[in-house]
Amino acid sequence: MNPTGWLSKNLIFITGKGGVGKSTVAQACAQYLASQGKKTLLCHVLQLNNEEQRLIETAPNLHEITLKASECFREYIVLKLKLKSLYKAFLSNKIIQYMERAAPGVKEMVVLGKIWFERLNYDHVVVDMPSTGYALTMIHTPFNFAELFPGGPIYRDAKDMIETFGNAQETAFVTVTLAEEMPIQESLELAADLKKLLPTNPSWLVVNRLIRVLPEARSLYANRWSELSKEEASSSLWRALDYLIHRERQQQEQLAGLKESWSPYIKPWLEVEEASDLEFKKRSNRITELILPNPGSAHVG
Amino acid sequence: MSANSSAIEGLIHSNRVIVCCGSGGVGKTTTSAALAIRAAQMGKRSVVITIDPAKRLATSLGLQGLSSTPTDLTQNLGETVKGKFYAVMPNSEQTFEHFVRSMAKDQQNLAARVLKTSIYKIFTREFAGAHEYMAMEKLYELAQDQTFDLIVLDTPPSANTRVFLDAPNMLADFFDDQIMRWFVNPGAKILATGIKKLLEILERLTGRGFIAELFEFATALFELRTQFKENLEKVGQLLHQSDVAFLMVTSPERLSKVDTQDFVRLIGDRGYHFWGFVVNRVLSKRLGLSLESAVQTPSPSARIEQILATQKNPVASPEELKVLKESFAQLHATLQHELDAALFLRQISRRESNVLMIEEQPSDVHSVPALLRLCEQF
Repeated sequence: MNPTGWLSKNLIFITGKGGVGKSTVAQACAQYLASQGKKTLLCHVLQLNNEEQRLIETAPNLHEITLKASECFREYIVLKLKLKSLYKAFLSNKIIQYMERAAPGVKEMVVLGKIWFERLNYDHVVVDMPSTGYALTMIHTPFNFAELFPGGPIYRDAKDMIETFGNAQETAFVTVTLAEEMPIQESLELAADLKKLLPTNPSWLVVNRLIRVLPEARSLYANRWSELSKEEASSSLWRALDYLIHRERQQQEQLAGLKESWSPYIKPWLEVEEASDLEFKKRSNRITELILPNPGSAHVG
Repeated sequence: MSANSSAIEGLIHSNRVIVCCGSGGVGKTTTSAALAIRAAQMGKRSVVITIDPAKRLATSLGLQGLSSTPTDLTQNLGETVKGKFYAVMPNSEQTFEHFVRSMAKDQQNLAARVLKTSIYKIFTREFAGAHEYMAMEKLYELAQDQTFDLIVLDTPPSANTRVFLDAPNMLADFFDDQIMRWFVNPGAKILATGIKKLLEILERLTGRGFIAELFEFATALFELRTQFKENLEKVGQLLHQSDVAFLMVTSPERLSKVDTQDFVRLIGDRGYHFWGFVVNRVLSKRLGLSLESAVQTPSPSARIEQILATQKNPVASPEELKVLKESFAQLHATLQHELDAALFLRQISRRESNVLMIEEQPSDVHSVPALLRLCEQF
């Protein structure tokens, strides 16, 4: 199985703990798909959402949007009620505004609904999801609504969403992680929780920012480190090499541990090297290069 | 004495409560514990309140778990501690049921009424703000207890820093008096404003029977709101006291400038007292590099030359040096990013000394010796 198999899906959800590079991976993935001539939408789902929601074309075939719950709510109501007089009265009502603001799940449901709806307009919709805990809450929402409502259009939409999300041919859930204990632990927990909700569509995994020590640096360290003088060993250059060697070893230990824990998910994971570029754009370009179906960069876990 | 330790001693001496905020995965729990331990080393009786679902702190301290009443852990720290060190973990259940029950206190019959409605199911899995509310309640309780000189609150893990500050508003929004009153007694209003139409639409969207359930749920919840608002007000007063300091824990790689600016502004707007930043996992410190030198050397080669210039004797042969330089260059982006983060934080912090840079630790901090080593940096 291909560790980048998720790239062929219509709906690609990318999540992970804060700071693991999920936005970079989402960006890289969308960039790659667009470059292959696929009409792609990159959705940003933020919790801190003060920006206006607008759709912009950032590259040929690539559209980007930052979703805002209040806008998604409006769109959903307009879609469902159709008649202008009806939805205007509905949306301007205080009780409805209260429910939009305070009723748990409404925000998540409308944002997810918007994403789900947009999948029909694009070859691929790539979603830069919030961090793991909140992402799970979001995916839970249609289940809650399907359970809570006895019927009606919201119930039916929730049911349809669950079906799409559970279909491994249509939807991919990708968790981005670092080869560090806590992020890996959290990713495994997320994968287990998602598997409970959507047993027919197990998650994919991307291990980001792996350190690769240069072979000549490795042998230099092996030959020289233990016999360095105090002055030499305190040089920042040697300390940098010492750090790289340690980090790489720790990461490889984490990956070895992951092999066993990941086995229930069958799928191989993708390993992405640490990029030494600072800029977001360059980093994502680098990942784009790596996810080009290239067996050399892929690891079968 | 390092710049870090004098700043930290000032923080500990002049405050009774330290609230540690920050997004997940920046070492917030460890930092909170280290602060409380540092206080105990200074002779204080300190307690850390942590919501640490992974129980990492407990494991570090050699425990199975932490209890919801303060446990004296002074002995676990060896002989370095003059004062006392306690830890407490409020019940971390984030369910709506737990929230309602704890809010209801002696009015459990009311709680039962809320929980009888089927609509409450939608809340059961995760109720935003519940964790934060529990943490604040525990803080209030311990602040009343004169056993403690210093209380360190490790705020619940969240995606961004403002969640903790927003939680009370979010919950207060939920208990919006006017709106809830309407739910409780809609009869009169329906006739007066013709809202019947609205309910018909709502029913069409949500299916038959849902609206009736909603009213029942709101009515039961309505009676609980007084208790809730009282609690919130008391906590609000406590957080405004001048001996309550807020600090933000972050790390260079997780730092979001937008989030940080937003947080600092929000703290000011709410009238809380912002102390500064603790920056964990600083690589340049581990490598023995000063931030100041990095400001003048933005390119990797210039920086390497500068490192070499500080060395009296050559540290490697020319061939070896070539390899060392290549390896060092792999870390250049990380170091530059770190510098950028540090300069940004110094700029928005009131005092430069209130940006504490903590060295990247050789391994994860999950043992008592590792915790104590971290404390030395404070």
